[in-house]
Amino acid sequence: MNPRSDDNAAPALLEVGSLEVAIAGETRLSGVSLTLGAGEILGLVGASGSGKSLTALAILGLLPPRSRRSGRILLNGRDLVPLTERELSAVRGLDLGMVFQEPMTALNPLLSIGAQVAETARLHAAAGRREAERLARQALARVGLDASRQSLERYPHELSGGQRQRVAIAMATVLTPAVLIADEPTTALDMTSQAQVLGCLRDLVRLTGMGIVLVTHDMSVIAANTTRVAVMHRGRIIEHGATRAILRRPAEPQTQALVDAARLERPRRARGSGAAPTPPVLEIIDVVHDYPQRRRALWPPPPPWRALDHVSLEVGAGEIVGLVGESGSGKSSLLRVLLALDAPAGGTVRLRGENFTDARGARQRRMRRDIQAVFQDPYGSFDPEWSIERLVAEPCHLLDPHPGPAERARMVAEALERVGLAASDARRHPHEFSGGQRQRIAIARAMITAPAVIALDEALSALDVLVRAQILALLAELADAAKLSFLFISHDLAVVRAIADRVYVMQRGRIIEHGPTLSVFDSPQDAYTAALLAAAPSLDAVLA
Amino acid sequence: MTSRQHGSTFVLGAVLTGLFVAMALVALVWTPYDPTALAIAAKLQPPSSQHWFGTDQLGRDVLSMIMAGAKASVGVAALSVLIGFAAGVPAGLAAAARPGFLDEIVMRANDVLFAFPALLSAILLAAAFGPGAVDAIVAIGLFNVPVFARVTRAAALALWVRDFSAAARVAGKGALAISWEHILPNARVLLAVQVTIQMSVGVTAEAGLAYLGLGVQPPTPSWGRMLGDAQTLTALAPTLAVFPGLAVALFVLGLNLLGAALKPRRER
Repeated sequence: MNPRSDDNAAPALLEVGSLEVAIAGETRLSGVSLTLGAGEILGLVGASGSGKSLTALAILGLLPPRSRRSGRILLNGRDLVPLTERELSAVRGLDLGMVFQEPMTALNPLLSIGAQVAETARLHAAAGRREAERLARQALARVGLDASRQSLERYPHELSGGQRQRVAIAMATVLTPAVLIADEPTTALDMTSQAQVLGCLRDLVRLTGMGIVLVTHDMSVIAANTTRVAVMHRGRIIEHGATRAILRRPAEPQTQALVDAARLERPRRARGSGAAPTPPVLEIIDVVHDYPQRRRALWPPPPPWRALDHVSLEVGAGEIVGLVGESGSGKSSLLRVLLALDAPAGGTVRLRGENFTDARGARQRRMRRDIQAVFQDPYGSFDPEWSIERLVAEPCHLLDPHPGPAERARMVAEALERVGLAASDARRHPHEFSGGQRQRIAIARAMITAPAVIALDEALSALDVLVRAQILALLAELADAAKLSFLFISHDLAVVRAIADRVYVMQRGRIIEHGPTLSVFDSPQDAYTAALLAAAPSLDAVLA
Repeated sequence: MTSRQHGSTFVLGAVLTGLFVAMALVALVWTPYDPTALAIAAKLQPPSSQHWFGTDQLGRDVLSMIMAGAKASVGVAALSVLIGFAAGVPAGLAAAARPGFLDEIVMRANDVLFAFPALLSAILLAAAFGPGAVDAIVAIGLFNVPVFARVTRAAALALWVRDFSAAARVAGKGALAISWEHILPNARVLLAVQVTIQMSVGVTAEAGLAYLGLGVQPPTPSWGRMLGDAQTLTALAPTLAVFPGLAVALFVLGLNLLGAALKPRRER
């Protein structure tokens, strides 16, 4: 451990001393010590599996069964370690709030948001109905959900991800606990929602003087929001101190790796970003797509929801094109149309100059060879029952003639080696691989038909920051060496900036701006693009 | 439930179920006595070394009747599950693969079938064709169809939205191929659980129908009718009701334990 000068800290609200946690006899955390002062946001950062979430759960007393914890956790001077579950649950909610990654699971879908927050107040503080309602309104106002502007009668499914997370924060802070533990509260959110939620946490600290432990893997979130940070690696705190000092001069290589991951250098490309445009392999021309809306009355029928409004986009040979936008902007609808999973209401998708949208039967199958996809969730995109060989070879039956078993095995082995895995991995099953390895397998599957374009749908957002950089390097290499084109769909601007040659910005089903990545990012022409960019935390901007 | 309890649930369920299935198989070729042979002189004997479970009011060996009754019980339940599975699973897969018109047709047809309880259809069939084992099988089988269709459809709908189904479509696979290669294998645990549940429903339904005289006809032995016969003799020979009752209860218990043990502890 390497404590830096850390003077004039406020008196500690929360003090964790030599915390040890073992699960099923295996030590997972050792010698974890932290202090959190009033009105402070402490960052807890690390790669996946470093023990940062486990530390948060240990403080909350929410460890899985068969785990042991020792050391001390002083909350306002009171040790939480020896408390029984009953005593702890009184502390949680009252003095210790918590917010998790996925807000939908924290909310009851059957209760309106006002009732939801009020219920927490009634349960923990035994407040009367009126008092609880007042507290709920106050808590929701603190997170920017004012009763005067937005109805508190709305239900969780009517809210955006960022609003839901703010309701979850309101629930956790309705009784103004001394300490709030936020475990990856913005990881599931797009940039704009992330900025709202983080802003709301900062406001809470300022308004109420509570202390927040912010657990994240993202150094740029740490940089923009915390005063002090603790870096975790393999169940230990390897470095802690003032955020700026640590980010400027990391002492440990693991800290340096996290900082590099947040900065996300552009992988080296053979073609410069200013290279001459290549002939398009994928053209999306004037595509319109509608979804039917749920009937609310017998008459009139509801107008369809326009998910794609005259969208046009081009991907050149060997080019990596980024498509960015918030959740709900129509990115995923576009993907479904261009993969011919959904038929558009208008417009065409052309592959190597040939109309793919109207292709049916054998012609559609032949053309499918040229467009393959990598999906968002590395855990959901493989049939768990199938071997890697069978999974990677699945698109093989698009080839004409169908390759025989020996030929298929050879192709799979080649594809796996191409993405940095071993040919012998073909015999294993998906559950034996990590998230990053699975995305490599997904890329191998997408490459097996030697397509012209591979569409990647948020393909990196479920991955650890360190793995992310490796996959980006792989994509850059494939684009150069194999002359593959990629359409890279993401809400993560940092990643798109690092990988895309050109970028399209999408809002409410429309392309509002496009151009070479660096020129769009450095001098956005559209106000929305500028707002999107401003919402993204940048390490360099903070440290400059 | 810890994994240890899980294991013992499975063992107990498998042993009980296996016992009755084995009993039915053995009864195909051998029983201690002829279960239909009358011996009025030896009627209503208590359990003894000759007749382990005693004899009934007509002097038949109760153990032999229980074994022969297992044949009817296992046979009717298994065949009716087969009917339900063979019709319901493809219907459910088709409904999930083609949301909209086909889905509506299949599910509304299911609602119609579901509206008739097995007992009611059995009485209907018995009135039309005369009571017998085939009526019982068809009636319980028809009752099983919508159950399997619904379970399959629900499981398949959840699997269709998974990314691997989209990946298979991108790989050019059609709805039939995806249903067969991806959906069915991933739903098999759920279907296996449903098979055990419907088996146990079938066993009780068979016993119920036979009790009412709508199932297997005399002289073929059946647990349900043994219970019916024993009812009039409870004061005279109370043990007569015990053995067929225990047989039904233990077989159903075994099947349910097996189903509980097979149930996935957490969806993947």
